[in-house]
Amino acid sequence: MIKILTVLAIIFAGFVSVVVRGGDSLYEILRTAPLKDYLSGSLSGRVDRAVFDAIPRGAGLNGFSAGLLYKGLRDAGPQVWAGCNDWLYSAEELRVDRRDAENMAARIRMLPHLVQAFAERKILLVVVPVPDKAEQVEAQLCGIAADPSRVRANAWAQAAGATKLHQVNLRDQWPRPGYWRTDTHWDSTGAQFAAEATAKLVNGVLGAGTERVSLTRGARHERPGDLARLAGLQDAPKWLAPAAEYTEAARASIQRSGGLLDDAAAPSVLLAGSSFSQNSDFIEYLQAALAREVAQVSEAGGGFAGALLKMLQQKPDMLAGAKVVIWEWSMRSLVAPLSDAERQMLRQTEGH
Amino acid sequence: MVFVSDSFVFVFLPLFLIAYASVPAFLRNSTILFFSLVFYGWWRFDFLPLLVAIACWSWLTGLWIAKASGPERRWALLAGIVPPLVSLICFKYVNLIVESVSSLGAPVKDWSSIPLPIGLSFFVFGAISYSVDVFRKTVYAEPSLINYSTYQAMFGHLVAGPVVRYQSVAERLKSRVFDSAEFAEGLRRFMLGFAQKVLIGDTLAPLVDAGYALPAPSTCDAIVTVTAYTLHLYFDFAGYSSMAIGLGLMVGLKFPENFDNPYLSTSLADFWRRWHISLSSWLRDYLYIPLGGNRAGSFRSYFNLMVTMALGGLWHGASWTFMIWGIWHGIGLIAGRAWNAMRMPPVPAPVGHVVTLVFVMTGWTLFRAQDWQTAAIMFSGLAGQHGLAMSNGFAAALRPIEVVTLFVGIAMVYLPALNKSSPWLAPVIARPPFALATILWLWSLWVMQSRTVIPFLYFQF
Repeated sequence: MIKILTVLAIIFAGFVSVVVRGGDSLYEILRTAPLKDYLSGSLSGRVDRAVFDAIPRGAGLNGFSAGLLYKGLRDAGPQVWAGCNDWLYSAEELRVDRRDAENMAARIRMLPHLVQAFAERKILLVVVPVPDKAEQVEAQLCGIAADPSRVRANAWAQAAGATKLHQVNLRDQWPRPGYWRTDTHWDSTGAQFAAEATAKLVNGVLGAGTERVSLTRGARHERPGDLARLAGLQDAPKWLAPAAEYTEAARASIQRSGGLLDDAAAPSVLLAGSSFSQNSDFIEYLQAALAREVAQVSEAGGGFAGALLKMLQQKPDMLAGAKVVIWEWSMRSLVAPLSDAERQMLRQTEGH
Repeated sequence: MVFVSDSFVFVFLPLFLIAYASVPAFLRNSTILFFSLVFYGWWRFDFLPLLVAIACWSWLTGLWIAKASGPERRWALLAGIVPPLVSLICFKYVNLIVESVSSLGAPVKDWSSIPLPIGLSFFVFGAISYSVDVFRKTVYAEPSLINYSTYQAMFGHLVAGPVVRYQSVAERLKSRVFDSAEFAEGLRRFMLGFAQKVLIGDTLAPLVDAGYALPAPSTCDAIVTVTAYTLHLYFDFAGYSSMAIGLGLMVGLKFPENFDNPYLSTSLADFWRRWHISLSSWLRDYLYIPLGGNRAGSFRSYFNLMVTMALGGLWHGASWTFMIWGIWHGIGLIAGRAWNAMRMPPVPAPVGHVVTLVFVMTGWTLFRAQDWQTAAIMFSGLAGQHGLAMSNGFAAALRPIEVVTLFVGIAMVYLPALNKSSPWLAPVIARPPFALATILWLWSLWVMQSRTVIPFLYFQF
């Protein structure tokens, strides 16, 4: 009887926890849901989520188990590849899927239409494909090669060659490593290199910028990597987790020349990129290298053309007065499943 | 709702147990029925009327069959079988028929796919077996609609089996008393099934997906993928069946065993006596034997066997790949039977085991493929058309924990074979103790918290 009661005690403890910690949100979900959500079953997903959130979890315990798996088996979860010397990689860069070629071909077909859309508005579209970390820091992959990265890069190079593009080639001269060990993004060196290479191309077309931009650096602090977080290692004890990384934030200060009433014109350069554009102070380095103010319209998780299509399809007013749009995207996003916006564009341009 | 979720373990189950323990005995079946309808409605409430209608119809026609005499009994039987069968065909196979007609050059305009109510196949099979059993007078017609509906809809077996026959629960539906030993056994079975599904089945799922997504799998990739799927399917389904049996026992209902170490089989016939037992015995009793079974000569019995396996394959899913999978097994069973009929020497058990396993795994390759193209790619990989060594893309998807789980899964498959040679281990293997089940369950609960819910494979059937 005691054994039954022990198991029931665990089940009922979970129940009490759901009632105490999640009762209000569950009540709110059930109260506000329309009848159609009850009928179609879409409500159950939200309730499941609220129940899941109400169950107490020991972050330390989860971190400990993730750390044990990482140190013991070199396993960093389904989304992260654990390389050597605490180098972590996004599994997306390394996986191969049958639909990769199809997705890549669709995006390549989309390319001339995107270029044309900006050319019609007399805006210079500068393409900045970010090379895969797996390809640039291949030596630390430990046991596998970055073949999928090379396939993507070569396919893109071929496609880009066929379209007249203003493209920044980061791949050949990349300052290795140029990436954080425990994060999927470029580090300060990589971001600065990319910013300077981009600025060189933009200034080459527009002429040098005239704004005075000064760059200052903040205090050194620890920087938790997104891949370490994805692997559940942020709560692991230090001896089980990858070694910590540190950074100094960069800050660009712009001294504007001012207009009649000391007002400033809207920036003529827009940065429509992915999370790379929002990491490691890329925009700060870019403004410094351009000597121009840059408006940030990037979207984390935007993938190949998320931010760009959002501007074109939903916020075309943002393009008024723009002279340059810097379109940064990660090479791995070429093969990701197409977003709704991308599908819509393909439908519009290809008529199906 | 799925068993492997916080909503089930920490909300549905405790609420159900409180309600079930609080009500007087005559309301227990109603309580089970009420919670079963909520359980089903958690997926989609708008399909509940269909289930209720089938249950009511089956109950009414059962009474009619029992009362009727002469030719009217046959009409009553037809009335009991045909409408549930038609609903199954409409919801499950119409899409396939329309798609097939379209692919043959006669596209059906403005056709939108009909969603399949989960568990409909199990529900309809339960209704058919009940009507036939009442007709054969192997069971009495159930006079209580609540009792009959409780049998049909009990949440333990509602969405993914086992295929429960009315006769196996008829007595217990009428009266049962709480037995703490039975409750403990039910809890033990539930926890073991939970652990099987979470720790082995679900852990291998991403590896299987990655393998089947490869554009050009090598022989090694394909073998590892098919092995992973073989284990994934077994531990997922056997785990779910164990949970269902456990939940039944907790309320005093005994559901049939569904698996008996199928991967230790030494012949294909042996495999089908051990795999999804409730379905294979259902097909035998309600399809194969009514077709004539073995009674009309060997060629007729081969034909009956082939029809049974082909339809059994199609029951698993609305795709021609499932039917071909059934035919593949039909061919294997016929070959085995012909071998015996020709009085060929018996195959040594180890050889038979290897041949059976290879045959079954080849079948699983087709079973898992969503379409012909996927199946063709995987078979070309197995045939060595894309090299032998593990490809870089697959190596990148192969996590160390998955490799460990593969080996644990294989060990779990073969451990029961050690039963005889290791007397001290035998009881633990045959019947893992409650304490071990609790530890494994707690471990799987912990693992579950770090994952999103992975739906049970057999929901699609």
